[in-house]
Amino acid sequence: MQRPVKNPDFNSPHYPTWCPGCGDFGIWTALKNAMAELGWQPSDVLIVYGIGCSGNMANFVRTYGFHGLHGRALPVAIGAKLANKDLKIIVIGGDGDGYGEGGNHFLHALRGNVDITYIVHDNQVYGLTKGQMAPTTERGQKTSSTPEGVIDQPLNPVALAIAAGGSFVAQGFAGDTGQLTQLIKAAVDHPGFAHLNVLQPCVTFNQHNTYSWFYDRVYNLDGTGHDFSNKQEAFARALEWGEKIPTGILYREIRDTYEQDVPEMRTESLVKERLDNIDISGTLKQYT
Amino acid sequence: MKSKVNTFTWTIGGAAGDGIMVTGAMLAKYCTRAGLWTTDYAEYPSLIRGGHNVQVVQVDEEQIFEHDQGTEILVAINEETVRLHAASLSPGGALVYDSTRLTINPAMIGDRTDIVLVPVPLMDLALKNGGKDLMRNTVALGATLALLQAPRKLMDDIFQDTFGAKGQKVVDINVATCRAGYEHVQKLVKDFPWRIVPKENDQRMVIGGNDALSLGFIHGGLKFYAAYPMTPASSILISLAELAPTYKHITKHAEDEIAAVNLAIGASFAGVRAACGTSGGGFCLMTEGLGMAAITETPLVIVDAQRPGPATGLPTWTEQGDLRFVMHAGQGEFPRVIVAPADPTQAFQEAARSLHIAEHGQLPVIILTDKYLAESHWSTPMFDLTKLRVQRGGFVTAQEHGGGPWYQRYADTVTGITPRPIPGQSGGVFIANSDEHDAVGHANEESDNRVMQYRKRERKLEAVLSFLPPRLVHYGPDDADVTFVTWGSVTQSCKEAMRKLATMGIRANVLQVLYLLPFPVAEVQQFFRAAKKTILVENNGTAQLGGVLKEYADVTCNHQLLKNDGRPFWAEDIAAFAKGHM
Repeated sequence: MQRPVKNPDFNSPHYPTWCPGCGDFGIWTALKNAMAELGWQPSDVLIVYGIGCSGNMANFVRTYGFHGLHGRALPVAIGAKLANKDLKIIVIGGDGDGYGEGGNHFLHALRGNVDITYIVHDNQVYGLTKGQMAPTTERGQKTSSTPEGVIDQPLNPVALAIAAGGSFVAQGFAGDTGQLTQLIKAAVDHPGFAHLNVLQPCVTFNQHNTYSWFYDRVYNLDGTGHDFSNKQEAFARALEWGEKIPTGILYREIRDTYEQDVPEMRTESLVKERLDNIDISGTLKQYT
Repeated sequence: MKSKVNTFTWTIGGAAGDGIMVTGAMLAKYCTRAGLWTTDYAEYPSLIRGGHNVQVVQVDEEQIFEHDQGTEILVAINEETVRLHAASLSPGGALVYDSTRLTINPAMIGDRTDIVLVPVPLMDLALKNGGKDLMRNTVALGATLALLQAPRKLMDDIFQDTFGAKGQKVVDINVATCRAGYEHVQKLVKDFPWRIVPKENDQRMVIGGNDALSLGFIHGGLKFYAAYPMTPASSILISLAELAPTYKHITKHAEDEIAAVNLAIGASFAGVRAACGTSGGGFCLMTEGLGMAAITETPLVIVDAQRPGPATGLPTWTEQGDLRFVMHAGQGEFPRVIVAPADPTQAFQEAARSLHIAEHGQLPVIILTDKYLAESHWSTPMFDLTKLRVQRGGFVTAQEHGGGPWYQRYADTVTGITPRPIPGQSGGVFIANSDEHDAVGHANEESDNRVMQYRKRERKLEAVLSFLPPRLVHYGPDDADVTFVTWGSVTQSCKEAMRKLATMGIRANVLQVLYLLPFPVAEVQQFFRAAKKTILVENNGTAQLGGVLKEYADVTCNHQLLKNDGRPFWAEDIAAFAKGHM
């Protein structure tokens, strides 16, 4: 009988190297809280990380981990899930990582609906490379790579996720770890691909989207009567940005996961398949 | 003078979409069941409808490796085929054409009077016998068998075996349309000099490089294959997808090749044998993943079925232009294994073995093929399924794993190989990290650690030597006057050239470098000390193997024959080159 796990059980010997006050701390705390509340042992779970300040969390959490390439965390996680459908898999990435470099994988993961949870640290700026424009940076904002101001329209990750066929789309805020913990648990519980965009300040490189900027704007959808099974309504909420920014579950739909629709995955996980009794002689005959 | 019994070349031409490839495959199967040896080769442009497609089937009583330039039978589904290929007919050869659609005038055949014109109303006979327009190819097959005075029964058996599952009606239509062509030509031509006389022989297959490789993967325990379609690798994905329900593996058509390689790495990390495949363009996108497999020590097999580059290049043609690329692909320095099979048997064996090498050695293995091997077919002895059976390895036992909290998955070992737990396994955890890392996988930029981890990875190349077969393969006599030095599918062309030279009284042999990395330095040097005259033969413009031979083994061939026009070598040209340099 294993003793119940607590948040510190998921700590690694390395204390985070993020800047003091970084929103990543809130997400880190909420993630460990959620795993503890779910009753997971560290060895039950695989966390796949992208590259960036968010991905550096690989060094600060004790579970099985895969710290992959910039933008490529999702396909690694999906490959692992298809190989072992019994494994619990969470993906940690950032806005540049997941919406810029890895945008294509994000689109197709939403379509595929493999049962994994994707948590994106969205701080509207590039942190690890020191303050360049991100896909979610507001138009006109000056960054080190756009000194005259950003020209591109910012990407709306949650609206995009709903439009692209996401079955679970939620938004959290790193300044509210209580709500974020519950959102992570809800995302994990969702059968299918769960996208959780987490708004967070970058205290060093983004002087626009600060804690107080967010505190003035975010509101919890819970208790507003929002019907997250209504796609039109979800889309209307997802488009809110500026004066009011919604947090909570925006959209949820229960449909078959990718795993449920692959005949070869309906019984045991592939990783448990025996390999010592393979016999291809029947197929060879067809070539004679 | 060649025997006219059981030795001939057959060519069919038509527009893309005319279904001619299936016809060649059926003829090859017929001849193989008749106890003969075949090889076939197809040329087609990057189009689905229209454009000119041609397929050649070569038949012989002895094992053959490549087709000849000339042909004894030419089947023309359209006029373009007549204009383009009539000149390649041997004197006395037959031009079978669709008289429903074509009339032949002397100008179309270069005023040749030494060939036999065989008008067959292919389309009419197909429709009259209950077939659709594409069944004209089956009529042409019947016509071919009649010319060759070959028994029709053997073909009917093939129809039964191939189409039986689709119902008796489909079988009957094939039999009827084939018979219609057969009987039409039987009345028309009575004394065609080339003939098929069936022989008793061991059971053989007709199989192409991609199918052989796919079956090798399955035999080797593959459970996951990811790819984005790209000629000439696409049919690996298609074959494996078809066979997925039978052998219970997963194929994933990914959104791009970057996803494909990362999917395969994820599946492999989770504990199954995994591979991905593409051509050179897709391999470009996979290179960052290749390096990640290396630094995380995750087993990975990648197939690069080469086609001429750069960029989109010549999508449906052949070349060996990627050797240097795959040897050096990826930033930084890391170990990899590269194998280049020459024929379906090697494709089967090395595909199965690659999964073993990757899993036990925990490093990336690249299988380098090309369009000529991938999409051509050869009569092939049945694969030996008692060999290369799966033996798992490189995993940690529960006892070694320990209770945690951390498992030292990247601890240094004598061989450089550290056993791994599969994620989810109870016990100490670790991080697979694309950053340089310490023993449990945490990012670590210390000098000593970097050097230790780098050396640990490199040392695995020594350890994997015990998993490899002989890295050089010799064909022909030991004491030859001339040696062809080559790699990959060009080995087939060189073996055929060797056969041709033997008939001219010249003793040749062939040296195939099967494993390009780790490069067999001592074996190459030993071979070169004994060789009298060496000719390097490569399907590229810069003699890439030639450079590798010089760099690694400090040996140089006496002569080199290169070709990079998108076409495979003609054995006749290789033989003539050798003869000219004696």
